[in-house]
Amino acid sequence: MAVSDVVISFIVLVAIYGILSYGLTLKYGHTGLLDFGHVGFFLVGAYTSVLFVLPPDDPGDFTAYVFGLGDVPVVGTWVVGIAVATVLSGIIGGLVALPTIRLREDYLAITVLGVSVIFQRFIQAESWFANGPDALRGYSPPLKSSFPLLLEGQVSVPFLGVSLPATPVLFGVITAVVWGVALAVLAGERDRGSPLPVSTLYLAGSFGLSTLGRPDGPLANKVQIAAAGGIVAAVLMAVLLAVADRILLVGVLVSAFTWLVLIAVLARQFGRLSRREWLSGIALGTGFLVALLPIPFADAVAVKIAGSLLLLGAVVGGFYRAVQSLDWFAEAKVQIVGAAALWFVAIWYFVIPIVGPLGSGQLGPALKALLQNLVWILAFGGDVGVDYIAAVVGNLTVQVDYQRFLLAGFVLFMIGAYYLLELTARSPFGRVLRAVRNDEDVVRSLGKDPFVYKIQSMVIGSALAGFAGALWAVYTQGLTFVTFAPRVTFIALLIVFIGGPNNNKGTILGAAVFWAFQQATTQIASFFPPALRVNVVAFRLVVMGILFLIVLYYLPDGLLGKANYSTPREGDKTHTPQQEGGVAARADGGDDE
Amino acid sequence: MAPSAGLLNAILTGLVTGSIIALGAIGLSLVYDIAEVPNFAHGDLLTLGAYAALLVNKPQSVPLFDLFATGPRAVGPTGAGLLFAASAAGVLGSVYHLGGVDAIRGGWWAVDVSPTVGTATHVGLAVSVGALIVAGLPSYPAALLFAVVVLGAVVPLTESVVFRKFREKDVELAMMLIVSLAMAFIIRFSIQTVFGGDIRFYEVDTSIQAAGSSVNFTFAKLIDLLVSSNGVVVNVLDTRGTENLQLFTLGYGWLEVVGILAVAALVAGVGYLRRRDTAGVVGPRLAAGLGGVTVLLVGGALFASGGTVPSETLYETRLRTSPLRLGIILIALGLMGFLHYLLQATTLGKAMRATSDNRELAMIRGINTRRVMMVVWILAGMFAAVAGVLLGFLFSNITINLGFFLLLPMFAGVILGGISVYGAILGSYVVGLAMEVGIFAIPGLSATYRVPVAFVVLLLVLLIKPEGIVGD
Repeated sequence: MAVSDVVISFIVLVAIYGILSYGLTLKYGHTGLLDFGHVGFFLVGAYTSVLFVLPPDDPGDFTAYVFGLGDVPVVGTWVVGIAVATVLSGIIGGLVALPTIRLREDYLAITVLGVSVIFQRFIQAESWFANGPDALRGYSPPLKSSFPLLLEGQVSVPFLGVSLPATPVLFGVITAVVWGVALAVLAGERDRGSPLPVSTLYLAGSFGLSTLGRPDGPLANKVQIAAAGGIVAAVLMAVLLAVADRILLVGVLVSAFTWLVLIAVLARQFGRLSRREWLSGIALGTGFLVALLPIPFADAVAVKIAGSLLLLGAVVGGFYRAVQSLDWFAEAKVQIVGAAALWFVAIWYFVIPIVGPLGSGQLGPALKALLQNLVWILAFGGDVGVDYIAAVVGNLTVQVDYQRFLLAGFVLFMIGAYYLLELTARSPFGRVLRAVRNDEDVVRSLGKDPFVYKIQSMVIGSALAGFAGALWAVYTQGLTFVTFAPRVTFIALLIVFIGGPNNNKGTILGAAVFWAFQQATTQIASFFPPALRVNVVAFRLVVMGILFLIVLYYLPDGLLGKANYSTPREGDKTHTPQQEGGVAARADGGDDE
Repeated sequence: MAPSAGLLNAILTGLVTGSIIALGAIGLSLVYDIAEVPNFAHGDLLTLGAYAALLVNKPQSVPLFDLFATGPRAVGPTGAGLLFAASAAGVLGSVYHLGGVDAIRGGWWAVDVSPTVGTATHVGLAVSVGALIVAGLPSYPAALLFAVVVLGAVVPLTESVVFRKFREKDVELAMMLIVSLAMAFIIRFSIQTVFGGDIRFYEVDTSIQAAGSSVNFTFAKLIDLLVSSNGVVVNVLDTRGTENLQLFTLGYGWLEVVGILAVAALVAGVGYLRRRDTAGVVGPRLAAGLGGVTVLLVGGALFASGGTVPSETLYETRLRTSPLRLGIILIALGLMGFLHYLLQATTLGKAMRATSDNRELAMIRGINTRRVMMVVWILAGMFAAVAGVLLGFLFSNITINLGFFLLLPMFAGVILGGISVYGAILGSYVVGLAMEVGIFAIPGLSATYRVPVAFVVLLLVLLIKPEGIVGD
């Protein structure tokens, strides 16, 4: 599996857990409700959506479930299934909250935990409902049959019954999302100033639409420009595919744009660092890499563990000494760690895959690996796909696989969830929620009933968890009750706290940090003999627990701090006289209320 | 025709389950009440105790420690030395938590003693406990003792290293809950890092010598209660494979039954009235209960005469139990009695009750609340160790989820009864009974629903009385 595939699945998992954690951000961060049973709604969403798309239960086979609506014409589709799953989770969240929300916060947490355990046990014990302790499989994720995208192949549009050529349409969808996100990020960079010719790139990337931006027109802010640019790019790529079948060219174009945007972002971030800070970051990253070398290369387990721990200790000790003794190091330590992480990831992504083939003197496979990782939007290898023969590199089989489609879809949903949460946080409803979190008596004195608002918060938060559950069902293609253990709530809680309990951006950051850690330790664990895998996996959870404690103690507001949602956004044009004086309000991040 | 197990059997099983939950819930409620930490990690403390006992019971099955084992259940001199050192360190560590080196010198005793006497006593205690454990290796009681002393020293560390830091930051209750959740994961997965994912079980010598013959205390005994027109007959059978061997039969005529019950009620009433206005260790309800039970037992023994199994019965039921399960109930009751004595009759217990009522006021009165808190954690650790080791033996498999399965019933018991020690005991028995009787009474409910039943009961009680049955 190429490194780009690892990164893609990483982003998909971040999206799913990001949406799940958004439910907790709303419940705990914004409203102050500690819900230890959050995973229960995740479970409800997953199983509901699956039951909607499964074909009716065949009594003769070994699986049993209560109903399968897969054959019903309009209802038995993923769209309806996911919608119903979301709504049902929200309703059940409200029902659970009705009797329990008046309890004290710790009683509430434990009671809802009990409810989620009841759900889990129900699935486990009642074999007639969802195949009991065995996995519930046998459904296919949406549009999977169209993948990997071939040059022929048709996809039918739901509800309209029209058939369209699969490859241009679906790849167009993927391109729209990827291009649009990249364009929005680029717009943000342009606004903040950058040493690189970002404006030119932005102009080119948005196909000139950025010049058409007018405050009152349809292209008022950067989001709409991004969306429009994404759609134009999608159409362009689709045409290229439909007319000329140029998968590789299209893939290279899209991937190149994203790399350019990434370079622009990083250039600005690290343009602020001086050379010595850069070099220390590189040194730290390299040191970390060297510390991990015993794990793949040593044979005896004891040597692996002891060697790695010693070297890691040396690296951490060196970092600590530097922080103590050098002032410039201590001031810039966060940026230095960021630079080290970037260097480490760059080596892992670009260098390590080509070290193997280069070491045995094969230039072709090395270049092939490099190309795979650069053109990440296409999957290489496999039996099915379009074949190319390129100079020096050799045979390439190129395809667009299902993971990329999931990536586009889930990232779109995650952005949607983020906007939903931002809207909620900035609305009057959000203000009442924050007031309920801080002091219920004040809310009551103003004439609003905190009970009603808490119920609403539970409903929306549980609906988000149900939506994430449906996405999970799409991703894993098989559900077991073991997945929905209280551990998932703990992970969601950890994610929420890493970024900051009431910080919407922070939740995404937390999910990224968590899954980066998981992927990294999974890769490390693969170097240990299988008998010890359980122990290594357990150790990674210990480390996570310790990190959680450190975050709770030293950074109770998370890595991104408290977010201030009470001030108007930069784009709001309400010019009241009071606002003209005083300190400028910042829409995200910033000072305490 | 043999009677079938009915409601009474479910009640008895519920009492056994309730006893184990109570042992855990006592520690949980002590910590919840006095240290104000809703300790989500308490279930994993039970697991820790269960696994710690494996070091003594089956040394070779423990990774890293098996280097010192000379056989599946024996250790060489180094291993024995390590265990001795660990036990002694456990005892001294527990004392150290009570106030540092000064406590080892006897500073925490209620009477003034010279440092030499204090240190000598503590060291002597540590040495004798260590010797007992090493001598008793690899028997089950030695393993139990080892788990108790190790946890007594390790559990307060969670307080001094983690919880105290957060309490000093004056965080809210929800945050303490989250912190304890993180601790739970750290403890549970640290155990798994060392021990891996295999299922373990204890090796226990299950036959004891009693009355000249060896009795296996894990074998189930069947006790039939047969009520007929002549009286009550208690028929005790031993299960041996497919057929049941009759051990002995006791018959009571109606006159004897009524007489015993009347005298028991009378003694209970008298005990209640006489102790009603006192505040001693044996309060009114305890006096009534103890008096009634004693009369029942004495009367039952006195008037026991050989009986015959009647052919027609008005009511019959069967109890299926084993000396092990009855022993668990007795051990639990004994430990609760010890705790009750501690709380009511000693100065330390009075300090604990005062701190639980109002910490600031207790501090004003000169009570060392930090020491009280440490005592509470030590007790919580010890009780958790006993509960974990008993649980591991009762279900004869030890996995890392052992304690977590019991965590929810424990919380249910604590919250149901109100967050105090006596409330927790009452609540745990209610939960245990609810779990077993619920599974029995509701047809078609499989055994995986035991914990959900406990939760439904908790939910119902909280809806009616959110402070719990006994709570304030």
